[in-house]
Amino acid sequence: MQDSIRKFIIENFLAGKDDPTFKNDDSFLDSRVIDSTGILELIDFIEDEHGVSVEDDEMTTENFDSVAKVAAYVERKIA
Amino acid sequence: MEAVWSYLEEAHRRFPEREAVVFGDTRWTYATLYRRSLGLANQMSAMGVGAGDRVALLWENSAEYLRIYFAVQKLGAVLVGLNPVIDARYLDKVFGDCAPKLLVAQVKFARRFSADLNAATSPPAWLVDAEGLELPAGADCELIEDDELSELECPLPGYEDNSLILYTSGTTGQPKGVTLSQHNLIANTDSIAEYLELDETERVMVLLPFYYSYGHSLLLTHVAVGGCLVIDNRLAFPNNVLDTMERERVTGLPGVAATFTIFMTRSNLAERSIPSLRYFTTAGGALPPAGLKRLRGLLPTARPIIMYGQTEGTARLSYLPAAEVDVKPGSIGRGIPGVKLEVLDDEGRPTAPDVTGEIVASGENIMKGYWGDPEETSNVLDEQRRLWTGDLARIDRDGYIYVVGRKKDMIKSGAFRINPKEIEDLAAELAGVVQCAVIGVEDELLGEKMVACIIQEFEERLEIKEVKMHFRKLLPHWKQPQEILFMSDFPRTSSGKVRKHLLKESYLATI
Repeated sequence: MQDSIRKFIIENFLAGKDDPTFKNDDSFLDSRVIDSTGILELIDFIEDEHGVSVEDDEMTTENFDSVAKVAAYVERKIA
Repeated sequence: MEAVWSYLEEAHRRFPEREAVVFGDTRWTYATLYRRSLGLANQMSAMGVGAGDRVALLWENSAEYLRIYFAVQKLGAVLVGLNPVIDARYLDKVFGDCAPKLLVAQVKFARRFSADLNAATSPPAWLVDAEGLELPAGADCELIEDDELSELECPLPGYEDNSLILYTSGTTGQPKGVTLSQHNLIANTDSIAEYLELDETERVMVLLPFYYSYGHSLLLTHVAVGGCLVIDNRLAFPNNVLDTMERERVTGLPGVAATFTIFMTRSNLAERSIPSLRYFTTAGGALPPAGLKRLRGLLPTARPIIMYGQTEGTARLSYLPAAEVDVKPGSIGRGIPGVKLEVLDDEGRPTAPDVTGEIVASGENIMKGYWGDPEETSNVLDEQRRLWTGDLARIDRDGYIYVVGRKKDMIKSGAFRINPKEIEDLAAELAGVVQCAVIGVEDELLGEKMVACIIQEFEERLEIKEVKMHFRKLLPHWKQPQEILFMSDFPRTSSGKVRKHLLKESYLATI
């Protein structure tokens, strides 16, 4: 799951170049990898690709602020 | 007030133990902010920074940002506030323009551009928050220290001396450095604090970046009254911000249309209660009437205040008080205290009521000019030092102003002024692109979204993904077009110039 999310982030927000200094635990906000419109693109991606439905209450840093957090969230939702 | 620094000195004298700034787990009183600012000013001074020197700052909103800001002010140096998510190409232009003596930056941002900077124009000294940065040849670098001082001998700058430079997009695609004096900042700060009736009990929610004139005005107005800045940079997750607002009992919520749209569409604001909130302010483009109505329902204790401004006017030019929002719907109000706003025709005569003209502003807050660019300055400041804003408006019989459009080909997206030419020129660098025309189209979230219309050399050779990637490599996120369209040709004038209003009409007809 982390690979799928990471691939999406690299292709869409890191100009296609994998950045080894960008870790799966790194905060998207803190590292400014994605901004508020980027978060929406990411949510569209996981809704389309993984068939989860994201509720307003769930749009928090706890669920969406790193590759690892997004992957864990999706895994919880589809479990 | 004598100088911008004096605001902090005065707040420290009157309210040493009141909270000045809250950011995550960091809480600084005015005494802490004051002593830490002096400690940093001492370090900068030892690095050779003195009165009039430019200090470029690439730092996210934080308590630390305030400390750096006031350290620079203490030395009478000139702060150049920049968007930290920025590319080397843009920075080369800015550094070439204003020649900063020192760059203060967070390594997490600086590592993205430091190796690519032009060493000839890059600042000779760097002050950073961590090790491990690849520096341009010849640059000296120090780590920012945590020293505190209780006093530092240093003469106050003169009232007309420069204090701040904020860069905006120019009509030529070159960034222009709006240069603001101590006098400009003090005039605007005092006026805003007066009409918003701010005092030391204020706790403002800071979501707007300090490198943006509206965000910067929050910093100075709240230090001026001894209030508290509650900073949260997580607007992408509005529920987290609402937690902060509840916990910190914020009293003011300044935003642009996009800020409020995010709260209304992506948070559980309807289930919350923030009774501490006294007001919200909106500027940087109108919030649609339906959105404003809904927001007022969601924030019942907060007075709505509509405002209008430009970086060239320090920040604020007009406001519409809460009591008049229903009386004059859609209006940006009238000039703030000390600012005269007029709507004039091309000959400089006031327009008749409800006839469109240009908004022209005068007052002590109007910038000194664009840094090192008398020609661009004379395009917007006339001999009476009036600012011709480029915004088209009408004025009603009671003197209330209604913005109807813009004179120049500029796009306002997410409250940023963006020159489409800059994006068009970059698109043309991509192999296979013959011409690109970027149009602004109304958008609920951004105010305007950017649509890049592209004519290809050979049809169907390029993919939209390639163009997107090209923009992502070269432009910060706020300058990236939201949509890319391939077209066979554009509507044109007889001389071949693209008729953008027709292009926009044909775009709107197809969606």
